[in-house]
Amino acid sequence: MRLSSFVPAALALSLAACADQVDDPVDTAPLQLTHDDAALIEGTFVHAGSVVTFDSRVVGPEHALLHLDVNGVTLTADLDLAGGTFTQDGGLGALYADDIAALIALRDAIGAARPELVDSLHGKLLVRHADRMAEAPEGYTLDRRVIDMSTLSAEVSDRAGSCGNDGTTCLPGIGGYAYEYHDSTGHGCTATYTTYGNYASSCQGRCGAGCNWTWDDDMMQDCLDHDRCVDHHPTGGTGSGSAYCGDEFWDADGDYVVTYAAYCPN
Amino acid sequence: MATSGHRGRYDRGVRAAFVVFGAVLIACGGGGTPCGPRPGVVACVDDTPVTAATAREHLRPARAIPGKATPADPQAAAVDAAIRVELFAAEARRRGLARGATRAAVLNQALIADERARQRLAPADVAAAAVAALVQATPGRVAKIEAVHVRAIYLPDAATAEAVYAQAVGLDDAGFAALAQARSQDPSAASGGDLGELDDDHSPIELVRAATPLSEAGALTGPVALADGRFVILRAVAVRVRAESAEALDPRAREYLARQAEMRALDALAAELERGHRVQRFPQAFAAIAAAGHDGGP
Repeated sequence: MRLSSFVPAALALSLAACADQVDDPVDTAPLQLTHDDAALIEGTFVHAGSVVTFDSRVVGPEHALLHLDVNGVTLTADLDLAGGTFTQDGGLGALYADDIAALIALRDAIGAARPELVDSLHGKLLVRHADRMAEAPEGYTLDRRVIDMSTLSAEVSDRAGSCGNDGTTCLPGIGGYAYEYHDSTGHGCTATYTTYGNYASSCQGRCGAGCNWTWDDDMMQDCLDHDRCVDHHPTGGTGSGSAYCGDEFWDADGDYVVTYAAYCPN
Repeated sequence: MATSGHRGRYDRGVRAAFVVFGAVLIACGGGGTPCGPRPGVVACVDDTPVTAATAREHLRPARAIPGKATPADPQAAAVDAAIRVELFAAEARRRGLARGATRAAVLNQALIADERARQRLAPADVAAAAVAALVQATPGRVAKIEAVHVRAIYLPDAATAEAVYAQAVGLDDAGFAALAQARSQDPSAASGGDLGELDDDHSPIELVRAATPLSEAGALTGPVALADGRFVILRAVAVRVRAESAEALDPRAREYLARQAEMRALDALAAELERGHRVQRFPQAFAAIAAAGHDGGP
């Protein structure tokens, strides 16, 4: 072998080894959109050891379908505004602290990097469903639910709640004081006068995890009831998470769906 | 001489090739640069640094430790979680999982999925008898809790509270009541610490929150620090659970049992992998993990 052939051969060999080891810069970005147009948003997101894959697509006029996989749990959401239904299914899977943190981080990552996605129906479905499912009680098995949106109305009240599903009752404005209603341990249905929205520490009453600065929000009675339940009964990380606030989570379902867009007349 | 000269040129060529090979590998990060304490690095897994930014993604609210008055350090827990991801990613590479993936999270999840399949950890793998036993013995773990009747022991400081908690472990209701009468620094001591059923609206919210983990009679929780400076230990006298059908409880019980089994399996695997790798933690750097917390409220 000639001397002049050693160095180029070594260079080629080491560069090949290098190519195997250096991360592809595209592959290491937390948020990767593999497809992004008016019909389909598809990609992956990684956060703290978690992996979220998503496929949100327009399947008809005012109709979008989302598949969201969170660490192996598949969540689907079918938003049919033309037909007036919203169908979601968690396949009896359950979410835990890491899954929930990843969903919140996905919401915030899209809000920071691609806020315009929320302007499309399938983009809004992706971001808002991630936001919503980040409120699921830890360990709570998520089944199939169908909401008939034609039965919902935007009544505004801060005095007309109940411990059951209050339909889609709006609270006045974006913050203030209202009664929250819940099944009190030991004493049945009770009500407590409390702060909500931008008067409250974590924007209680907003339908979604914590506060949000990306889109306008309506404040809803059932979302306030759920948020206050969580405040009284933090998950603690040991149980199924369904013991206290599962009912309130599902009662807030319709409220969450209707507040995709500006909903409350105030 | 001609042979010797040729050999000399050959040796120089080999040496030059090694220099080039080594230089390029070091430049591309594959040269095995030793990992150690340096700004922004909170741990090392072999020669892979775990940065404060990576650990920050794992920050969660502090979790209570049964019997301890102080919750687990969330920064140390975040470092442990980030180390686990690196260990699992390394093991996934060794097993040939998720070929082509470079992101540690993807490899981490590939390993978890592999373990689920190998050890049959899915909810569908849970035996029907185990589901029935759970629902029969401890329904509060999977059904809505309507009321919790508790006894409490109030104590003046963390050390005393931890010592009394240790004494309370394993006691029955009468034993706990006697301990409360002897040690609790609260008017409720006279009645063996009996607080009755807690009420979301009229009981102190600190107690309501503290009692949330109590899902079955005899369960113990605490010590929990109270705003007045005392610490409280709670024991469930009775837990009233909403009656639900077996069909409704079955998936929740399966999920609960599968999750418990998975956590045990992954904890054991992480411990085993840590013994097989060179893992270093740099607690002096943990402060760098703390940052403005994300808005993840209710």
